[in-house]
Amino acid sequence: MPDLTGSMSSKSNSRGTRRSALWLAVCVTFFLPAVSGAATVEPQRLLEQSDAIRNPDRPFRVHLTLTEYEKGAQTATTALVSYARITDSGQFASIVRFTSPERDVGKLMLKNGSDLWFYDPSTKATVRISPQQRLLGQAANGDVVTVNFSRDYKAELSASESIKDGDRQARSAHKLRLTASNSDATYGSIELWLDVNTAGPIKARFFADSGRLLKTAYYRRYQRELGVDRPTETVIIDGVEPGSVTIVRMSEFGYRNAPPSWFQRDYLTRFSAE
Amino acid sequence: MDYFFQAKFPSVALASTLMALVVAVDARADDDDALALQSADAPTASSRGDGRLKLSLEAALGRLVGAQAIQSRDAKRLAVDLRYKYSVSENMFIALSNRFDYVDPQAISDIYFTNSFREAYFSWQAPQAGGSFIEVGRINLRRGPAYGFNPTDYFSLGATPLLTNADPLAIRQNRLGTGMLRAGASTSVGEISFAFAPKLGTTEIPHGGWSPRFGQTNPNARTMLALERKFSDSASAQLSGLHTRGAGTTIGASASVLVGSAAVVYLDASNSPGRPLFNSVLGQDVRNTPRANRLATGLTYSFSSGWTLTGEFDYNGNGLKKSELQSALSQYMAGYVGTAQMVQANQDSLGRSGWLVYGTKKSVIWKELDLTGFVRLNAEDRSKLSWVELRYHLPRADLSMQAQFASGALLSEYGAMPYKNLYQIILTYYL
Repeated sequence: MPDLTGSMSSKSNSRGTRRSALWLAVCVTFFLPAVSGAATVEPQRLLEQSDAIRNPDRPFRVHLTLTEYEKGAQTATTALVSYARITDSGQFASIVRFTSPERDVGKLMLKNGSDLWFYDPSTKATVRISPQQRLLGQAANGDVVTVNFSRDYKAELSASESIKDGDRQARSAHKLRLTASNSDATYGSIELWLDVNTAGPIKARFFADSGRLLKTAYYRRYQRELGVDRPTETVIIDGVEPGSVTIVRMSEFGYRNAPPSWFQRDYLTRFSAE
Repeated sequence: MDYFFQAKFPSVALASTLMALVVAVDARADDDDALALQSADAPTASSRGDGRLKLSLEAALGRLVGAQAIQSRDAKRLAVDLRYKYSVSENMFIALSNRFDYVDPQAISDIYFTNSFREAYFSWQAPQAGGSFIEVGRINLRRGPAYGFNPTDYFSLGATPLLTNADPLAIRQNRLGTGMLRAGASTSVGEISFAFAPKLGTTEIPHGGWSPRFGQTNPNARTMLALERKFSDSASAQLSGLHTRGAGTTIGASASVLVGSAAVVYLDASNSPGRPLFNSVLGQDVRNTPRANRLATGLTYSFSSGWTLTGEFDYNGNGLKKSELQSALSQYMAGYVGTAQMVQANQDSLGRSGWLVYGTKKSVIWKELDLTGFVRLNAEDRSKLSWVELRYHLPRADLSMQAQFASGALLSEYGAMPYKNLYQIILTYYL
C-alpha cells in the first residue's frame, strides 16, 4: 500500500521541486541572458564587428547615389564615387568625386582625419574646410557609410531591446552608446543598434557635442558585397526637420588600389581615377 | 499633470494630452514615412560624369545703372562653356577648357565677343607612391587660400579677359591658364614643385576676339619653386618663390589652420618687386618702384544654421593710399576705369588696405535656393562694393539673380565706378 503520507509528503516535495524548477526557469529565462550577455557582449568588439560589416578591410571604391526628399517629395539626386583606404591611424581616408548633377561633376572632397579639403575644378581652388562646413554638404552623408566608429568612439552597451528596422520589421538588437574618444570624431555621440546575431548595423542616431540630434540613420538592403553581407542602403533622417530625408544607395563595390599619395591636398588637382 | 489644473481646466488638459499623443504618433510616423521612401535609380554611366565632359550654356539679361552723367542701359550676354578631361590611362590625362562670350554692351572697343582659351595640357604622374608628376601646356595654376586677394597667386596677372560679375569666385572660373612646364615630387619634407613659364608674346592691351592672349599670360619668362608642407591634419603651409626675368624675385608663404571644428584661419603673404600695374595711374617709373609686402589673412566660420562666413583683411604695399588715389583719379579719370577693371580681373587690390566679408547660405526658404554675397571695403577711402546673388537649382539648370552696388566719394576706388548698380538675371543650362 502506498504510503499516503509519504505520498502526500512526496507530492508536497514534488510540488516544491516543481515550484523551484519553475522559479529557476523563470530566473534562467529572464536573468541569465542579461548575465550571460553582460559577460559575453564586449561593446567595443561588437562595434569593430559592425565596422567590418559596413566597410571592406582593403582599399575600395563604391558608387553612392543620394536621393533627397522633402516632406515625401523627391527634390534632388546626387551621385558620388568614394575611394577609401584605412590609414596608419586606423581610420578611413576618403576621396569623394561628384558625378551628378552636371553642375557638380568633377568636384572632389578629401577627408583624412580632420584634414578636409574641397576642390572645385572650375575655379581650380583647393580650400581647407572645417568639419562643421563639411556637415553642411551632402558628402558628409558618406561618413555614415565609410567611417570606422571603433577608432573614434568608445562604446558602452546601454540596452538589449527590440526595435523597428529599416524595413519596419521588429528586430532584436544591442543598443550601444558611443562617445567621442578623440578630436577626429565627427559627432559628439552616437546611439547605435546592432543585430544581436550578426552585429550588422540596424539603426543609428547621431548627436552634436551639445546633445542635439543631427540625424537618424537606418541601414537596410543587406546584400553580399566583397564576400560579406553588407547594408547597401542607408535612410538618413534629418534631426531637426524629420521631413528632410536622404537615401544613400551603394553599388558597384570593388577593391581599388588607392595609394596614400592620393589623400593629399596637392594631389586633388591631378586626381583622375575613374 | 497637476490635479487642480485638470479639474479646473479639463478641456485644456484633454487637449494637451491629445496633442502630446499626436506629437508622439507623428514622431513615429516621421520615421515610417521616411522608411517608405525609395532611392532613385543609380545614374547610368553616360550620365554620371565618367566621360568628364562639362558643357553649359549661359544667358543673362541685366540693367546697368549709371553714376553721375553716365546713362543707364540694358545689358545682355550669352556664353558657351566647355571643360573636358580625357584619361589616356590610369596615370595620364589631357584637359581642355574653353569659353565663348557674347557681351552687349561690348567690354572692349567694338568687339562684342570674346573667346577664352583657358586650358589645354597634358598630365602624367608616377603610378605608385612618390607622387612624381609632369604637366605641360596651358595650365591654370592657382595658389593661395585667400578669397579676394592672393599675394602668392603668381599666375593671375593678365589672366582674366572678361569680367561678367564681381564675385571673386566667378572671376576665377573665367581665368586663362599660363603656358608652362610643371613638375613635382613628394619628399620627406613635403611636396616640391617647379614651374617654368616661357615668354610667349608681348604684353597686349586686352581685346576681344579669338586671340589666345599668350602675350597677356606669358609676357615674361618666369620660374616658380614651391614647397608644400603638412604639419598635422589641422595645419599646412607653403613656401614659394617666383623669379621673373627682368623684374626680380618674389618670395611668398601661405598657411591654413583648422581651429576647433568650425573655423579655418588662413594667411597668404609675399614680398615682391613693385608692380607696373599702377604706373599708368600714377605715372611712376617701374624701375623706381620699391619692393612691397602684400598680405591677406582671414577666418572662415561655419554655423550649424547653414551660414558660412569669411572675414578677410587685405594689405597691398603697392596699393594706393587715399591721397594717392584721389590724385590719380583727378588726373587720369579716363584711364581709371580700365585700370580698376584690370585690378579686379587680376584679383589685385587697388587700395593700400581693405576688408572683405563673404557669406553663403545653402537652402534659403527652399532647399534648392542658395544665397551668396560679399562686401568689399576700401579701408583707405571707405568706399564700398556690395554684391548679392540668389541661385535656384533646377535639375539641369541654375537660375540666379544678382545685384551689385558701388558706393563712396567721387574720387574713391568704388565711388569712381561708371555704373553704381548692376542687376542681372542669369540662366545656366548644363547639357
